[in-house]
Amino acid sequence: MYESTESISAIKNRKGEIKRLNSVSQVGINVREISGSNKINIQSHLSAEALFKSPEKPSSFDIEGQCHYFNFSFGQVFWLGPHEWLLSTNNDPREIAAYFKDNVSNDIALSDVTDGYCELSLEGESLLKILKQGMTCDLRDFNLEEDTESNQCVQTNFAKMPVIFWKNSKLSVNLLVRRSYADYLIDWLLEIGSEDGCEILS
Amino acid sequence: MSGCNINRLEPLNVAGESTVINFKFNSKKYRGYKGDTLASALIANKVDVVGRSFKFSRPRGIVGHWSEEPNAIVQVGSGAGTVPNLKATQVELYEGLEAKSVNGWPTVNFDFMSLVGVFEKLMPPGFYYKTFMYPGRFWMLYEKYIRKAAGLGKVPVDSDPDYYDKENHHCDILVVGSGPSGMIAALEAGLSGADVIIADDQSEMGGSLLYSNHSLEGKSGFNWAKLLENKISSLKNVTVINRCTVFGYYDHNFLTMIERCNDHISVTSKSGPRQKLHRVRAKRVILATGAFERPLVFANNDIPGVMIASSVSAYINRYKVLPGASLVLCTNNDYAYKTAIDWKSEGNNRITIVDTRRAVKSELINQAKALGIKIIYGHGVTEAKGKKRVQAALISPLSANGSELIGGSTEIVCDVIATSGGWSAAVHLNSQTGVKPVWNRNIISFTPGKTNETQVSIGACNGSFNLIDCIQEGSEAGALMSKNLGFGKGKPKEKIALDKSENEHPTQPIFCIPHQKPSIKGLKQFVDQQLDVTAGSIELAAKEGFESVEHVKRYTALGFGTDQGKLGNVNGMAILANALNKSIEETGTTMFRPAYTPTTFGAIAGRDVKVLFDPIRYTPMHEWHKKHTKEFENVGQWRRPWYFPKVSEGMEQAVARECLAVRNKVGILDASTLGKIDVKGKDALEFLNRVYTNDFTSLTPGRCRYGLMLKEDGMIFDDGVCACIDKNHYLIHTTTGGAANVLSWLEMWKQTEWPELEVFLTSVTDVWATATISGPESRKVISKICRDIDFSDDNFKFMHLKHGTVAGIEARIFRISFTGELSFEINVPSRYGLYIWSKLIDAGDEFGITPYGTEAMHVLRAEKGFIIVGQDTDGSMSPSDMGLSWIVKEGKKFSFLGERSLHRSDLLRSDRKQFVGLLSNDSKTHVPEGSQIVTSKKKKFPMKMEGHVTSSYAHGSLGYPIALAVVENGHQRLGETVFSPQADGSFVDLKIVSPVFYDSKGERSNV
Amino acid sequence: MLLIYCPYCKQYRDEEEFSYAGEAHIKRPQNPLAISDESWGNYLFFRKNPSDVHHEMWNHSSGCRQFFNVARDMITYEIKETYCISESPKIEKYKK
Repeated sequence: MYESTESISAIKNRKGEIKRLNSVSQVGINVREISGSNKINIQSHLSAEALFKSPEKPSSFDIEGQCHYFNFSFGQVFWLGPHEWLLSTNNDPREIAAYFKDNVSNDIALSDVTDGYCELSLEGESLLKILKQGMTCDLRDFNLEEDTESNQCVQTNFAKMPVIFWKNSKLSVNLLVRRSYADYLIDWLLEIGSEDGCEILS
Repeated sequence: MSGCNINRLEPLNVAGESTVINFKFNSKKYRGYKGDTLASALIANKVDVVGRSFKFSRPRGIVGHWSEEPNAIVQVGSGAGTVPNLKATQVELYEGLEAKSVNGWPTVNFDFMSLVGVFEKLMPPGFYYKTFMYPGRFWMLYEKYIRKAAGLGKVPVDSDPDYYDKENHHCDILVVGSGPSGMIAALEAGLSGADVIIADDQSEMGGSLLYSNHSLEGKSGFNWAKLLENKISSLKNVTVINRCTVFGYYDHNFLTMIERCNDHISVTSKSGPRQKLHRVRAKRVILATGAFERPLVFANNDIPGVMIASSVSAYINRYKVLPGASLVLCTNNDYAYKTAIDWKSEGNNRITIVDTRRAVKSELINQAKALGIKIIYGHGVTEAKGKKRVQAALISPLSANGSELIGGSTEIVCDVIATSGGWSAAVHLNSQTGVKPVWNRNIISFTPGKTNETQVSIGACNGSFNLIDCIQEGSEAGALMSKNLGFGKGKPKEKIALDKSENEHPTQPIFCIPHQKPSIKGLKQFVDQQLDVTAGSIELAAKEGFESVEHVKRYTALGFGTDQGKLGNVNGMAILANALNKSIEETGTTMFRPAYTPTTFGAIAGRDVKVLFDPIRYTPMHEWHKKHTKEFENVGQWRRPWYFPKVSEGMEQAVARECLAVRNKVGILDASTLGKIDVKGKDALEFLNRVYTNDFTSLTPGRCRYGLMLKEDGMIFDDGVCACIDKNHYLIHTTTGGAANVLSWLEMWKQTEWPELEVFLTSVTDVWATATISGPESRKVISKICRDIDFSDDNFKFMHLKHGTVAGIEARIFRISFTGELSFEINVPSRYGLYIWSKLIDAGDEFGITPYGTEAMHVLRAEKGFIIVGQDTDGSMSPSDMGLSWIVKEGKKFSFLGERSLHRSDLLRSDRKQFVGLLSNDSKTHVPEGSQIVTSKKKKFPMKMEGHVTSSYAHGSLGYPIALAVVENGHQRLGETVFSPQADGSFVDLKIVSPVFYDSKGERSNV
Repeated sequence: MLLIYCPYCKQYRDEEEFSYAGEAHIKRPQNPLAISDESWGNYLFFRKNPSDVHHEMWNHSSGCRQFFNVARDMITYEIKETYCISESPKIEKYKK
């Protein structure tokens, strides 16, 4: 018997798994699934300015630009391409659709892709070591070892899987990966992270 | 240490400590010290013969001290971790090391194959090629024995017990080599604030300073290097990686290097990765790779005891080993005099320097004279005497340019002949970037070719063999490269007090010392010791017409060995130039390619092995599948259940049962893997009409249609159901394997050709989970758990879709069929996939619902003659070939992709291969996929291949095997008997039939 | 392993993130049904093979999924410029 609410998480069966080669008390990297927010893919030929002008004062991050994210009244908006964004929001997708239809335009392509993604946060002392194994992006741009804020967000490959990647805080990053890759990504993190210890927390 | 370490001058110290190490070589026990290489320990123990040569099986000894070593090739360890073909000069000694020579039977000292050497004269270059040509069918037999006789090393047969890591780096400056020039460059760059990585293949920084007796700023070169190493290591922005060989230099300053993390500790790693592959993208590269000393070539120069001069110095200075009792040093340059001086400083006076030059004057020569060392000018060593160890050197006077002998021989008793023919800059990495090395007559060496400003060569690899120049170049390069990137002002910060350069007498351009007998007929003068290539064989190659250096290399095998010609190539090219009466510039040199030295496959593979070989994609229902079957198939990256065998069922029974269940009752299939793309926008319809052969204008919301996509050449590219969800909103399906390619194709047209169209594409493959229930009872099953849809045929027609609530979850239900039976595809957001699946299983239990996998799915569609793109098509089949002309709507307003090609003469040929079905005449034989079709059993070769089998299934719902094929003009040949030749020589008799084996009117999906 | 500047992401990324997409600046014939087999064949099959600079399309498949143009030297593999899809090459001497 499966309850419908149990399947929201893409990696629920992996929680609590831990792998480490040496008996260390602290694990080098821990992994958390972040669920609860909805993901809306937004595509339009309109500019970011036109789409995301917000009644509230926007954050210090610029709307225009690329490979970044910025705050919007409904949540965070990630730039995916010149005409494509991903909105991460706690609001109901229908509410979002209504907002755009009423306030901006009827011709915006909105797709609820919430279930297509699995969002993970990775953090720990071994974070850079793990990322350098799987990514060819220049990680220096993210200043992961500093406390500084960064609204950089890139789409790139991680362990041969396409991901969306951005910095959370010092030695902590978030990853969006397609749901079907989630299990394999956990396998990969556990294996590669095993030298210093890797734990799937929640 | 009685009886061992005869040649050891004093115990070897590492960081103030001296540790004795026990090791075995060729099953004999020896002792050495921590800090030794296997080679230095063997020399210390007076082991003369360490191997046998490749072709002639001549006894060979250690010649060099690092990666240039051609002879001391060993197999280290045993079992799963054994490593073949390591150079003893690069194997760091550790407790319990066990190594063997890679050839020599029964032992290196008494090698059976040396008898072959008697026939040396009959084995010129091209020997194998010329001798074992005929009869052709015996080549495989010859090859087996040649391989055994000539082989090197043994590959381990067990799984690799070690793991290997990878690390991707980005830096401002990569410095390759931590000799004096590299170290200074890295220090300057680091002080300026740039991100620097410096790598070297030695265990510590210092390069040539570790091996020689230089003196810098009042300290020994060794100590000077140590102090500099400390300064560099203290800089946070400088990463030092030792035991790390940069083996490849690729486009846009991308370099690869392998760090040996554990090879110096044990044969398999006890903790951590065995090796690590570093992949570096550097903004600037400073090459400081040093230079190799060339040997002089002369007769019998391969007898154990003949060594490179600077290697003799290396053994004395770094490893505290004196390689013998008396030395003859033959040189054409000043630098090698250092070796005689080093030898003398250990208290051994038995030295004779034989200088090919005359009337030479320099500081170094004066130094040697002042020490009382005997020097003979204008002479060269023409021949070494001895069998398994040098016993004497024969020297003769040379003409002024060294090309002729002008007198008779004198014998000098000795057991070490050290030679120096000058230095060859290590231009390999520079050459890997596509630049041809340039010959420099003044220093008798190739030097780096011209590159762009992102790369610079400094020090010895740039042709600057003087230590003072090396340090100056390193200093300037480090500061300047940094300034180019915005760090510092370009002026070196570190002040180094350098002595004035000593004046030198130039190197004489002599490579091979002539002998009384002509090369081709006389004693062997070895140019490449590992491959037994002699001066005579190069001259013979030139005589036979091989004039290009590339041809000579391949014909003689010069430089083919694991030492990659580091000692032999330049000499070989000089000898070739001489034989062709050309200059070295005219003759040129071969180019270099990665890898710089042999590298382990394991390190390249890294962690991408076994379960992590490639990403695997799972559907939301995978939990359930895992519990109900062990049989999975990989479809692209997806893991899909193949079939669901009951206890004691084999594949055939399971698949047959699954198919019958679908035909007679109801089956359930996980179809989540199919590609799904949302197409939205005002011009969505126009866009779809351009990329599909269909006209979708009449496809109103709630309707579906099977669509075909062609490439511009008119060939089938992909297929799938296109559904209209709403106005300006379509959902298209693609094949599982084609999803990414289709999206890319559509984006390409949208972005590059039709940017004015307002259409947007989103991949939603992962968003939706799809459970397909198929069979006459399927309506009953879905009706049980979906109450807000009327599933009767009147209300919910074939090729329509409806929205409803299934077990409380909002779902889209498509009434489409890939099996030919009544089918419903239930789509829910992925989070509910497992839930809905289990609800359907429960609801279907009373109707005998049967889960089926990809195999049954393939069979069921084949029974209906439905194609699978990529299985029945291969990119060369058009719609009419596959009997799908009915989907092609020509004359649409916009000429869709591929339409024009359908009118090309090639697509209108009457003998094109066309899609048909095949039945075996005996109703029993299964003809394998890929089998060819012929029209006659007479085995007259070549047989005309009229087609091939694209899909074939032994078991399904029909009770007899069926196959699908493409056969020339097949549509006109129904009823004809054809044959399929099999690998064992038999034929399968087949009849060409319609590809629709079942329900030819297509009634069953319409109920 | 090329290092390619995506003109949309405005960042340099490794070749692994991209897919090669053939010769650039090829326009689909306006009226395919009206042209000869030979013309259509030229459009389908014939491509330039220069030994100097080639203008080609690349797709940032693991990134922004945009197609763009690259002017690349076919001997040295040096990339002279990358530019957005509907733009023209800026470097005059390589325009043909």
